[in-house]
Amino acid sequence: MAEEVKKEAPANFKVTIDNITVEVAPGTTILNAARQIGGDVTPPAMCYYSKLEGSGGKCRTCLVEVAQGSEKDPRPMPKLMASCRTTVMDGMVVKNITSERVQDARAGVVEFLLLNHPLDCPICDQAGECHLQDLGYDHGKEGTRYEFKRRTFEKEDIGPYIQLHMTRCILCYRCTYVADQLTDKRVHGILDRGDHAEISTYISKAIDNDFSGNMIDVCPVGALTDKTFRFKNRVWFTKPVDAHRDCPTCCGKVTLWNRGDEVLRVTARKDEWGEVQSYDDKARLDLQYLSF
Amino acid sequence: MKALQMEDFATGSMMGSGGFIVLDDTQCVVKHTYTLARFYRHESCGQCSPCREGTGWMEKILLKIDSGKGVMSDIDLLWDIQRKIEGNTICPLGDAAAWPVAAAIRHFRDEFEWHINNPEDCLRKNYGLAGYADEIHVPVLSNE
Repeated sequence: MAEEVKKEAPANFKVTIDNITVEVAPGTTILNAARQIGGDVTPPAMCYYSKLEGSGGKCRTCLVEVAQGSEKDPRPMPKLMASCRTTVMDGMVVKNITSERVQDARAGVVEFLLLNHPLDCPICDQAGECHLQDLGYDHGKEGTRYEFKRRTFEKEDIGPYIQLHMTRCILCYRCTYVADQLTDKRVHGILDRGDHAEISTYISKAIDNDFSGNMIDVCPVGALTDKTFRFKNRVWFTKPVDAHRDCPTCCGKVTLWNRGDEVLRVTARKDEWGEVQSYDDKARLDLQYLSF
Repeated sequence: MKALQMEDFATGSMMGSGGFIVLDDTQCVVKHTYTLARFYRHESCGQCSPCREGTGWMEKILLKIDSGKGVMSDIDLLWDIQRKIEGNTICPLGDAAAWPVAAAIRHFRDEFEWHINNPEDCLRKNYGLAGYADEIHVPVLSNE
């Protein structure tokens, strides 16, 4: 019976995003369908990470309007949908940049995300490769209407390679998914709830495992920064060079960031959506030691 | 005799889920809205950004108006914040946080304005029924 249904179902779903039609496999999310088109129609994503299972749906920057649910049921969806968590249906019509409602909601979300962000970009190591900077530039308004004291936290040292600045965190939960899905003996997670929720470790325990560097790379803002690179240089002065290390446990694809002949830091290789393939810290450290 | 039904209460207000709250003239709507906003801010789980940041922001503005430090643009700001939270969150808690603020501004905007125009009086006395010399107008709930 199941096989018959499978035969009847069309191989691909047709979905129209901002008047561009694309054919995608069933089960694809709207965001990934938009990424197949690329360009301006792709909604921004702060918390969704394709390689981390269960990520997405939290930051609400990827909201889109579904003008037609599917071929069979053409009713529009009443609320804006998070495109990273909504799967496409055959004949779905999605509006992203063509919808005023989406632009308005997205500007609101950017304002909410920046509400308690310290905006200390001039002293932040992430500046220049920060997704929140890009998001604010693309979709934000010029000023904030928030006039109260911003939420602040103490800086925290979590492990030999990672510095945590909780004030900069936008609670995307990506690093907790990395801790959950890539590493054993997870000690890292979210404490409390609501607007005083914070990333922390189990009673300030150090994060000491081979894959901890991935947490730095998945962080869209400057909340988790690389201790080996802190205050050494600005990102835009360094030049990325692809490198490879034969590694039995990871893919070994890394990027060296050079200034002149000196290798200043090693990160994972990112694709055009700012996502990395997992690698372990041995690759990072071995290559860094090589350079010194 | 017709039993009271849910539809009988549909006045475009949201002061509880399917229930109603009776306030007499000694109560302050701004203070009451602040209490509700504080509740929702405390209950917000902190996953999605509009609810996490927006509920706290609304609570702070309502406290500011209630303590006589508000300015007139705060009312429009509150309206804009609730509009941007409503419908954009993962779960309905964001909607539920936005609706009481919207309802209070929709029906009792003059009380908010009185708080802002009389920063000293509002700490000593309430707007009260005298402020509502005309019958309170309850508009028919539209889709808007």
